[in-house]
Amino acid sequence: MPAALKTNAFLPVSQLSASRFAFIFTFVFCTLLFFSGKSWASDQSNAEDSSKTGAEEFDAISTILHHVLDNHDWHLFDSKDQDGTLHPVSIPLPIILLSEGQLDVFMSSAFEHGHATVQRGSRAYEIDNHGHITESNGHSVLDFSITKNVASMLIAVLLLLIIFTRGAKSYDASSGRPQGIAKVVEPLVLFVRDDIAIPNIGDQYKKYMPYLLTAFFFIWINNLLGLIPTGANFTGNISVTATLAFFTLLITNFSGTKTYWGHVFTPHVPLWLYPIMIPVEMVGVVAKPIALMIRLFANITAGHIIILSLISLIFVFKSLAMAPVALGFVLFISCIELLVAALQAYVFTLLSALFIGLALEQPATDAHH
Amino acid sequence: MTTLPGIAAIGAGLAVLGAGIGIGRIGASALEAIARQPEAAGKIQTVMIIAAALVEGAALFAVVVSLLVAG
Amino acid sequence: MKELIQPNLGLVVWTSLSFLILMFVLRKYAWKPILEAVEERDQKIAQALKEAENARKEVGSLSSERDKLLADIKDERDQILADAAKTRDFIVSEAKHKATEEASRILETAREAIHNERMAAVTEVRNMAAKLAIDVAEKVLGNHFADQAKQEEFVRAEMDKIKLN
Repeated sequence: MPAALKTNAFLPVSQLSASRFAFIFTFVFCTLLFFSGKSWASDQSNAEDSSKTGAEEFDAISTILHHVLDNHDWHLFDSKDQDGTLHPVSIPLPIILLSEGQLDVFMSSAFEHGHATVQRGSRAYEIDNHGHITESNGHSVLDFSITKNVASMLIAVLLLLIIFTRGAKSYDASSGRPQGIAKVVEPLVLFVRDDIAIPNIGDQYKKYMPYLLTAFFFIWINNLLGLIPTGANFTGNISVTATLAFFTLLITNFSGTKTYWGHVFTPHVPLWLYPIMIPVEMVGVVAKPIALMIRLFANITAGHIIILSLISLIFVFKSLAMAPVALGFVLFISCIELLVAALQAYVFTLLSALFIGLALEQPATDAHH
Repeated sequence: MTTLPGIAAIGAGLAVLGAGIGIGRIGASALEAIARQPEAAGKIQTVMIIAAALVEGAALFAVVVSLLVAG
Repeated sequence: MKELIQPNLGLVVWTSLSFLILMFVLRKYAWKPILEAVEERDQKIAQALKEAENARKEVGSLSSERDKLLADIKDERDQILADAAKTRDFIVSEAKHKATEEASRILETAREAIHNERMAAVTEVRNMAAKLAIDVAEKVLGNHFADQAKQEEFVRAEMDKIKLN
């Protein structure tokens, strides 16, 4: 049922290809839903040592954390042997490590789900339960792997490139009317321009349009991809939101006018308050992007945790009767999360535009300070 | 060991309570304002979302602190 | 739970790299063409609206000009018609006048001729009557009046008694 909701968002693209797309999308979605259900069923034993066949205690917290955090492979489901041992089935992802000035690249399947050590030259790599890769000889390791989050982001980037470059080409040359996919793309682009950029930034909005548009659609589509079962929690990762917020920080402060910096370093207060006010103002400069970072991270992660907790209820109660109740709630929360996905992209972009607009402040407009 | 996460959870709950009251008041005021001036609905909505996002940001700081304390 | 807020260098690097590349690629191949297409269309629409407004104004001025021309023509026509009527009236009255004059002149001439004719006829009748009367009287009185002189004196006296109107 969430599949219908998601495919609806893509329906107006073009009649023929849209229906085909909707069919494939629904099919893939249902398949994933089926397998993810299986993987949930197996997670309870996965959390524990799989060699133990006795008491299978379901640890909801570690299971949820495992799914909310990043991973070195894309876990799909587990399969059970004849003798009852579980084998996780996942898509292996490339691991890229920098240690001792040497670049080592291999697939995550080489770790055999944490059971094997990978030997590259003099370096032996091990992976722990949390996905941290260490070097057995104690050398420091820099991990630039294509993790589940990076892979999900690359898919999102590919989708964005396809949708928007095709959208830009779908204009009727003579009349300039949008055709096909541009009919969907253009209102969204104009929404960012007319409802986010122009009201908050003003006349100089054009310079900031590429950043705002890219940020809006990048966050939105990654939020949506994260809602697909087995999807990554990309925008709910603090590293990602920190990176995006850091871009806003850079853009805001590099476009700061004299008036803006004047507010920071020469506030309109008595001189003896300066030792207090200047640090407070400088904290304010940094706190705004940090708030952006925390907001996006916490909202998306919270959404994932709620959905995962509701599904965990089935395994906590160990009862199939719980399934319809939990799924009902999951459906309800998923609908809200679809809204939140768009809303958080909007809020991030809106506040970025607002901060940029504040940094561009001209002396004439600050009469009320 | 068991008391600290419990206290952190209570802290997170209190933060959510505060944010709930704050966002509720923002929503109520926005609703009144839109009822009084339906033609300004778009502008009020934007300001409402900004205000709600700021309140929410403060609450999320508290929740993240609770997460840290809970370990 | 702490893992949730532990930054990961690899993810930061990949995210910044992808985001920046995405931004520059989309700026060139998506945002710029889309925004330019929209702006161009907006300008076209504004231009078309302006042209329509101008055309409307022009049509308005043309129609007022036409109205003025029509009014002028109407005035001229009225003037010509009035002149024609006046001329016609003049000609008619002139003709009438002339005709009346002619008629009265002809009448006068006729009356004069009749009068003259009648006078001539009366004189002739009178002369003839006088001659007849003389002849009759000469024959009658030939016998009665032997004396020529006496006879003529008597006739003249008698003639004077007869007065023709």
